[in-house]
Amino acid sequence: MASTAPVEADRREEPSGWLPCYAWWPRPEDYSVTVVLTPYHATVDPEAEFRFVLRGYAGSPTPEWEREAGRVRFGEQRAVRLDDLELPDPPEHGGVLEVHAIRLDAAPPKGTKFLGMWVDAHGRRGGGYLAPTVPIQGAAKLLARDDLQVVPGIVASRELESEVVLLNPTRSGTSARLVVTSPDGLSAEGAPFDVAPWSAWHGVLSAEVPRVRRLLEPSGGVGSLSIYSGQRLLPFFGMRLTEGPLTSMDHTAPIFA
Amino acid sequence: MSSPATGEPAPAGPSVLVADPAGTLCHCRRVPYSRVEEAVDRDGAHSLADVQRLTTACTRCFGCRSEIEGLLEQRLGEAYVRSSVVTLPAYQPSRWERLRRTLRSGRGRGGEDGLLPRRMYMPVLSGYRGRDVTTRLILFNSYDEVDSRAVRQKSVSLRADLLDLSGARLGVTQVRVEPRHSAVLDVRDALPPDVPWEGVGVVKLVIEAEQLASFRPYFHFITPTGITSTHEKSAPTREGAATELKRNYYWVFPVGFSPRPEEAYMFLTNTQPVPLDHHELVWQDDAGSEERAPLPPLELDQSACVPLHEHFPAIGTGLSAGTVRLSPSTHKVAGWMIRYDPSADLWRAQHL
Repeated sequence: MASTAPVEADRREEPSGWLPCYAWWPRPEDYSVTVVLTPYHATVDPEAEFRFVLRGYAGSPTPEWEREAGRVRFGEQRAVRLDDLELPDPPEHGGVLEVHAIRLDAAPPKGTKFLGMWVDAHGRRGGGYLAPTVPIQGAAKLLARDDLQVVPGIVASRELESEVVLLNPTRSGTSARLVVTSPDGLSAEGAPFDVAPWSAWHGVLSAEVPRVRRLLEPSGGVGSLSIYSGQRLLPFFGMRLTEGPLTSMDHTAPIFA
Repeated sequence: MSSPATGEPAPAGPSVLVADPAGTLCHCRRVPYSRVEEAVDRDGAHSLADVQRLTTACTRCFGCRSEIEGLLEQRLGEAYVRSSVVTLPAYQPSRWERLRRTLRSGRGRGGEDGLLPRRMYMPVLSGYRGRDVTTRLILFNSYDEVDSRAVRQKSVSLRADLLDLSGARLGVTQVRVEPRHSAVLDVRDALPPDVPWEGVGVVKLVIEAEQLASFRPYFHFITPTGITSTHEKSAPTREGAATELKRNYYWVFPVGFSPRPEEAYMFLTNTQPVPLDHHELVWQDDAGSEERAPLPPLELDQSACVPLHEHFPAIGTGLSAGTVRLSPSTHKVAGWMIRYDPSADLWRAQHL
């Protein structure tokens, strides 16, 4: 599990060279999702022009759906509500949302080859999350490790719960495992599980890691999470009261070179 | 942050929190108050730059700036020459030093003398606007067998400064985090009882770059109704710290459609020694209409928590989508987007 496997380059060829970014495609009965597409987050060049494409994946490299979000010049923006797109439902644990921002007037610079955008998701029962879309390839920052990402400050108790989402936007399935450590260094580990290609894995921490509540009881339910995987994944996490709505879904922390 | 003062360096053991010993003004350079007082009273220091030159204080993380400025003002009155720009120490790395740093595969890596340490910022809410919200920091050292094989440093030592919005330092805590341990800091414990507190501020972590490999900090905003979490934002390393960085994109607060009205706050900390003094926040909805609000001037380590829904009421309705951007696109700021749903008393936070 500790070994590192390169991420396979299996993207559809995009002549411009711009690579897509990803977010969770949650169940529509749980969240109202707006994808905010803004050139301001990508450039300051007043001549810039963009094309945005949204795709949803559910276990296959062929998208379940694809929607053009239009061409946008610098100074314009788009806010796309998934509810308005008449999409098929994702699987029970959600799917992979691909947000592909393509700059039409310029090739990617050396280093960063993606344009990140944002997902603003509002829970149907309250709460929600604002999350950046993240790339699986094309980032300028080098990672020291593809097999590990961490979450300082995971919670699990009778009152508190954490949710973990792992996105695998590659053609290879992989295994993953969750290891929770208490502030004083004790640990509990869940059984390894598989994350299928082009899929989202969604789990609740106390269900995935046996005895985690007992482990974290002395620290008020607070510990840290290590997510080990056979290849690079895109993990996100969020927290809530046991019966309450999720109020964040941030990306986990990679180990940079 | 509330642990008893046992002196420094931190003793061995698991994650350790140690209140800093009294008498030290610059914790990076170990410069006592008495040396700075001497520089002002005896050696003729009239400015922060003079104190930096005479004592080396305030030449690494700049965390003692507010204390030095207070001391200069108190002792010199109108003779004190204040500057909104913090001077960086003159330092040119040698060719060998540049090569060594390149081999370490990173700009700004290494904690050698003359290079800036890493400065990592996180917002703090505790009783903000009278609400039942507080902040917890979780500092995780994920060191494992892979780090061991790479001969990386096992334990991580850092300093946590609590600052108010004006950049004044309210508290200093030394922290050490052993491998596979987490330090959990409740910000309420760090608030001095005799210091005015507006319920909002920022924590600045100061850590040498070579210790970053297995260290990550996140924070929680905690309310009776939920927990929201995201990570720190870092200051630029030396190469970019001294000038007004030109950015090739804007800092953006995206706003989606919402079924419920929400408050929205943009939290910004200036992490550069040059002031952020000609900036504005621009709300643009998806139909293209714009509204503008000036950002208050922010010097190094000063912060603003701007209630966007008060400047741009459309944001609070949930019926408009768009972005708020910081314009012009200069400076490295540490920024977070904070949403508050009053009907459910739920907070949400996300880094820029």
